[in-house]
Order: sequence, then C-alpha cells, then structure tokens
Amino acid sequence: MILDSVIKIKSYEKMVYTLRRHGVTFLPYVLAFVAMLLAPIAVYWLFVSAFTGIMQNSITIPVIVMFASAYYLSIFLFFYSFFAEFYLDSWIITNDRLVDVRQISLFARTVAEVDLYQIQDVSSEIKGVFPTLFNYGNVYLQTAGPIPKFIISNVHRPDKLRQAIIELSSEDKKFHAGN
Amino acid sequence: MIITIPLYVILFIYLGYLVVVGVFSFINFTHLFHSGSLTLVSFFVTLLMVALAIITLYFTFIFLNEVDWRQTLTLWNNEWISNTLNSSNF
Repeated sequence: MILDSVIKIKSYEKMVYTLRRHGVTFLPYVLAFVAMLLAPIAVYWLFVSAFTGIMQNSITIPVIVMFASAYYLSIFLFFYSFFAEFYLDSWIITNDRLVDVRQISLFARTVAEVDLYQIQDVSSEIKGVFPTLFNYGNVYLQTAGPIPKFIISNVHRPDKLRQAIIELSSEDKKFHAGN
Repeated sequence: MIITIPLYVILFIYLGYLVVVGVFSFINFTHLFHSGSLTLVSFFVTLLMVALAIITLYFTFIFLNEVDWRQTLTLWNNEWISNTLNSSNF
C-alpha cells in the first residue's frame, strides 16, 4: 500500500486495522445514481411524445445526444467522486497510534492522530434501524492528547472494535510505562 | 434579429467538457492510489466507471458519426416572439 503520502509508518509500528465506514452507508448514493441513470429514459419518452418534430430535426438530435452524453459522464464523475470521498475516509490503527484520515472533498483532506497510550475512555454506539440490522455504529474515544475527542463513525462491529482499542491501548500504556 | 452558431461550436464545448471530466476522474483515481486505498472494491468501482464512460462515448460517437457539423444552430430569432404574440391564443 502506498500510504507514505498520508502517514509515515515507524520502524517498530505494525498496522492492526484499516477501517472504513460500513458499505450500507453508501447505499443512498448508489440508489441516487441508479435513479439518475434511469431518469433520462423517462424524460426521453415524454419528449418524444410531446415534441415529435424536434426529434426528427437534423440539428437538434446531435445537440440532444451531446447533452445526454455530458449528463451521463457528469453523473459517472459525481458518483466516482462520492465513492472516492467515502472510501478515503478511513481510520488506521497501529500498535502505537490511531490515525483519522478524513477526505472532506476532492481537494481537502485532514489527517489527525492520537497515541494509543493517551486514550482514556472508549465507548461504542449502535443507534437506529439500519445500524442495528447491519451491525455498524460509532466508537467514541476520549483522549488526553491535543485532540480530546475522536469519533470513528459508522464502522462495522463497533463493540468488537471498542474492545480491541482498549486492549491495544493498555498494551501501549505498559510499553510506555516500561520506558 | 437572428443569432446562429455553427454546430461544431457545440462539439468543441462538448470536447472541452470531456477534458474536464477526464481530469477530475484522474484526480479521483490518483487520490485512491496514493492513499493506499486502491483495493479490490475501489479497483472494481474504477473499472465500472471507466467501462460506463467508454460505453457512453462509444454510443455518442455512433450517433454523431454522420452529422454535418457545418449546419447552423439558431439560438435566437425575433420571429419566435412576434409569432407567439400574433398567434390567435392571445
């Protein structure tokens, strides 16, 4: 993985988890994409029945074709951009720290990190119908570092992740207490 | 007054837009690649988007293959207004 542009992995560090939001949370975008793919078909039938003369004009047809082509390419681009933003939002947990990579837009990204030994409190939350059905939710981290609160949002199995973070944090605390 | 433009002007605007779409798609792809997020899922989504774009461009080319680009497109004609105002509906 080419992660060097985002974080530098230390020599003693190993990656434990790479987390992303649950795939179900991307479903509204997929449904909107499908609806936008199908919308021109309905518009076309309405247009054909309402303006028969226009559809037989040798000038308007290429204009409509180019407009339709630009429309489809635009929705492919928007969908791909939304997917990239969704997929680049990630949390990397190593045996030493937690890195929160947030892709805000195509040209805006924030990266924040907290050392695991600084974590004071971890809690998880599953709230709502879909989160309960698909077992995803938020994990809240209270830290003693410069960023007092971290939220790992809409991740799969938040309860299991909370336990894993507590274990990793206590191991890191032992390591730092020993040094 | 009649305002007309040759049809190839619309084609040039369309081609310019294709370049913009291509650049933004490439930026998205490089983001995925450089952040180490080019996994199987993101690879297949990229592949799907490329395939859909190729299909769209192919059919656009098929539909526009026989077009005479020197035809003129009327953007504005005063007669449209005068005909509307003189129509029996008013």
